[in-house]
Amino acid sequence: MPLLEIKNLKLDFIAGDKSLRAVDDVSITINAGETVCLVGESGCGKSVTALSIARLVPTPPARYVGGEILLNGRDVLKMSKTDLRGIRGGVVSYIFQDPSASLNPVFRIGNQIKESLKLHRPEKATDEEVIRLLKLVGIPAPESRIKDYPHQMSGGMQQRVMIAMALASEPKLLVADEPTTALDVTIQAQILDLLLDLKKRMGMSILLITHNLGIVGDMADRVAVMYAGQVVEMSPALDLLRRPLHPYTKALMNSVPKLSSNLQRLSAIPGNVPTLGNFPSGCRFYPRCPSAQPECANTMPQLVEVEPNRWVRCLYAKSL
Amino acid sequence: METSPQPSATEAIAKADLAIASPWQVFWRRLRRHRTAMFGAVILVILYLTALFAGFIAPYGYERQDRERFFHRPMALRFQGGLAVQQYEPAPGSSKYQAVKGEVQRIHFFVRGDKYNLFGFIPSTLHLFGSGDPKHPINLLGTDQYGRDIFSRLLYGSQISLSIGLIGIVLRFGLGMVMGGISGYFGGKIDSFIMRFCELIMSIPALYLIMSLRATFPANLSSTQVYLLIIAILSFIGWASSARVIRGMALSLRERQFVLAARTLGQRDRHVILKHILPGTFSYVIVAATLSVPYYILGEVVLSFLGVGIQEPDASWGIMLNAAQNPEYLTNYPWLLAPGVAIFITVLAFNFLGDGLRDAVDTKS
Amino acid sequence: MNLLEVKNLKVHFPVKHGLFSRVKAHVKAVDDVSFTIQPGETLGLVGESGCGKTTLGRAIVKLVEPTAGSIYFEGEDIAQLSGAELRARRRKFQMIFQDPYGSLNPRMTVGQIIGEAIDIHQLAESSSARQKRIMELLKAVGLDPIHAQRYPHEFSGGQRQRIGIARALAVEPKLIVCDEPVSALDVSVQAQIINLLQDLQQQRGLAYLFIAHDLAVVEHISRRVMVMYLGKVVELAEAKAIIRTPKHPYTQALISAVPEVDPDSKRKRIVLPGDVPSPINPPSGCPFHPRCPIAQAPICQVDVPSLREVTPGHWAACHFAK
Repeated sequence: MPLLEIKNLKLDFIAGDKSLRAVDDVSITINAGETVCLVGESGCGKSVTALSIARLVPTPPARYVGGEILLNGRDVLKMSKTDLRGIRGGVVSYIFQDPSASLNPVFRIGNQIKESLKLHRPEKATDEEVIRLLKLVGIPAPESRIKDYPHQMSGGMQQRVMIAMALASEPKLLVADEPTTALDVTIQAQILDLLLDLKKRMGMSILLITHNLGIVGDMADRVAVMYAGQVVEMSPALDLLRRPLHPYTKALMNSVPKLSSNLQRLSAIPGNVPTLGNFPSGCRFYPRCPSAQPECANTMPQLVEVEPNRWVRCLYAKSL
Repeated sequence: METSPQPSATEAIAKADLAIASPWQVFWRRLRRHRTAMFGAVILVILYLTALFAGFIAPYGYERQDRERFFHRPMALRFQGGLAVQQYEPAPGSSKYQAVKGEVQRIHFFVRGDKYNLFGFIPSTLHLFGSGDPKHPINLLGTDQYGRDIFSRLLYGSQISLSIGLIGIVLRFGLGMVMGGISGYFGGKIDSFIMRFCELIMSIPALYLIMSLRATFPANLSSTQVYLLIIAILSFIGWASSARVIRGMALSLRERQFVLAARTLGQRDRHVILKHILPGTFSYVIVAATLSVPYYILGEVVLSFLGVGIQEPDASWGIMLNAAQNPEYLTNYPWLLAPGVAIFITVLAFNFLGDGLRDAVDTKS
Repeated sequence: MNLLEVKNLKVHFPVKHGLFSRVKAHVKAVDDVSFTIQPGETLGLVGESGCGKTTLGRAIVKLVEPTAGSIYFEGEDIAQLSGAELRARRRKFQMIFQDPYGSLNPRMTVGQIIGEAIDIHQLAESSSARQKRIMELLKAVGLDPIHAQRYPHEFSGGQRQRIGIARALAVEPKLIVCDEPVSALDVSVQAQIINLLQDLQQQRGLAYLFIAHDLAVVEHISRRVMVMYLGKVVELAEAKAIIRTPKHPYTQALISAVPEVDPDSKRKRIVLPGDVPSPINPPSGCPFHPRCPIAQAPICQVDVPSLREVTPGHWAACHFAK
């Protein structure tokens, strides 16, 4: 049984008398010990999908319209509030893009980690355990850092503290939402290394949300690419990077400059990323798609397995 | 990656709705949806219209005394062969009045009466209504200790009390924006100097400052001069706190990239402040100004109450309340408190509108 | 002749403390930086946050006052100019900003935003000529001329960045400082803006100082690349040379840290320990030595390495570069 199984998740945002589909028929599975990357641009629904795993999206304005989120076989969408509290931070932990906004500026970081321990492992809410966690995430001289306030630390160190807090409950799944986007490249490399190392040592699964295809190659076992609320391609990571099948994935990879590539000109994707409420009918990528056919404007393609383990949402996936 | 973490759906829908609308249109649409604000706005429109046409609506001049009728009680409206008021006669053995059963005084519309100048310069004697009979005046809200019609004085008084706030905020926020904008945009020594000066003003207890400023001017000023003086004093005290807030906003706007862009283009400092910095503070200024109008109305009341404001026989809500401060009057002639009710309604209406404005300008985009 | 020549430029910010604002220390945001830009050339500038690259860009367009040094623009030193003299020269060097949401005044229409630039330098004789110029500029950056009537909030990030470019072009500059122009944009839109900048450069002979933290983008658009660390230039060379054969250990680590899309790349990642030190108290000697994998005592702790030409056209500030 997979650790997490999101099946045909549909989520609307309600505002006034309108209801907008932000997540449309998204299915993702994550096995124990696996790293899955969720790739997409702003407004594609990747963060909302990830937050849904612990039902962290406020309802209203959101409303779950369909599907299931099976965590260890139990549907999160049907859980009671008490059960949800056990899930949040217990089975699933989150880290976010901006650690300085996620840490409380008026408490010492040691106390913040201890709070997290008190909630999930009260018997271990000690200074020793806090120091062990800080050491685990590679903070030098943790004995002296537990008395620090968040503002005394750099962005990279703050993100390590966030990871330590997330690990305090020994989660089965760590959801990392753009954890390195706010950090410099050399610090990003440190954090990604740390995540890989922790995954090996603690045997947890990671759902890594990113817009950076480069990170996928370094981190992921499998990738799901999202566009305008839908998964458009899902594949083992290396297969996808070597040979993307969906026109959007292809275009995205071609539009990013690569080191030492000698390209004179980038092949840009025309148009803009559609915003919520303005998704085209039919295939949502067709207005920007280089290989769009007349049929694409009318028929919404389904996510189908075109090759073993390779799922693509494109009418012409096989012929392209 | 557009870094705003999760654009909420509400925002997305709002944006779709508001496409092709200027920021002012957006603001106006949001304000119109705010029920209490629109309620406050309607009340204020009515109040200001009546103030504008005070001479026409008031049946009598603010100075007219009726020696026969001191402290007459408000007259009840009747409908008897047309709109009319109850007739009263002095109660035997007391200073009070009692109704004469069955006797009414018809109200006539568009009658000639006391002279007044409409808008201050069109002489006229036409009044919206009156009795047409000097023996039987119509005192809808009763009379005061000199037998003057309170309803008429309330309307004349509203001209002073309501305009004092509007002129006051223009002065206060005009000064506040200029000083705060300069202070925040240039920073450094200019900023320190202006801010220390603001703190100096703010550190003196307001009442002492008002009294001492008033004392520097001669006591026997005309009402118009006093009126202007009150505005000037209240604005002088108020601008410092506004300037501090605007300076804080200017300080952060100065670092915004569109301000940097204007500087890079070679825009003059004066234009940068006027075109890019100050419009960014409008949202605060509109709200703060609306919410500070009551401060001027009440300031005039306090000064008149202390005897250093508008002088009799001119009418203002403050001077009318001043007359009502005798406890004996209050228990026997509670209608003298009518200006208090008017102040209450006005202040409440301004606060309703201010709240709505605050909500309307509070956009994330 | 050089379009721009920066000589020994320093920008130091005082750090004030206490009631009487005593100056306690200086942040050496830009410390003794020299370089040139030729007409029509793109010079890339990379570095991590806090390295001083944004301050350097702003000093060149005179948004911050240089503490010392010279900025020769077309042979004339503008470092000490101010007032009307500076304003008149401003149209020759413009800036494009990072934040497409913050760089346009939300209360002005697109037409007013571009029109302001035209008005400041009186570049249109009549209002119809002014209108025509606004239309041309919008077309030049790939927008529909009817967009002049609209407000910035109606546009997507990429479109707003195009408006910012049109505003800069309105005064016909020769140099544009591009401060992270694509890093706040969606990945699929970044290439559009990069291509647009390259097209405009060819059509109009513009020179760019292209500031970014994304090495791949900088390599793609630049002829030469300059790497900064703690206010100093540590390496300067042709773009291809700096990516393929970096001489400075910091540049080597920076390049190795870029996540690779190509899963079969054999590049080995060098993970630098620690954080960038505070520019208030930079390390003695070579500012990079506490994190440097090849640092040797005592030379790296004591001697500040100067930027020297290691191979022809390839400059590096490292004692061991060869």
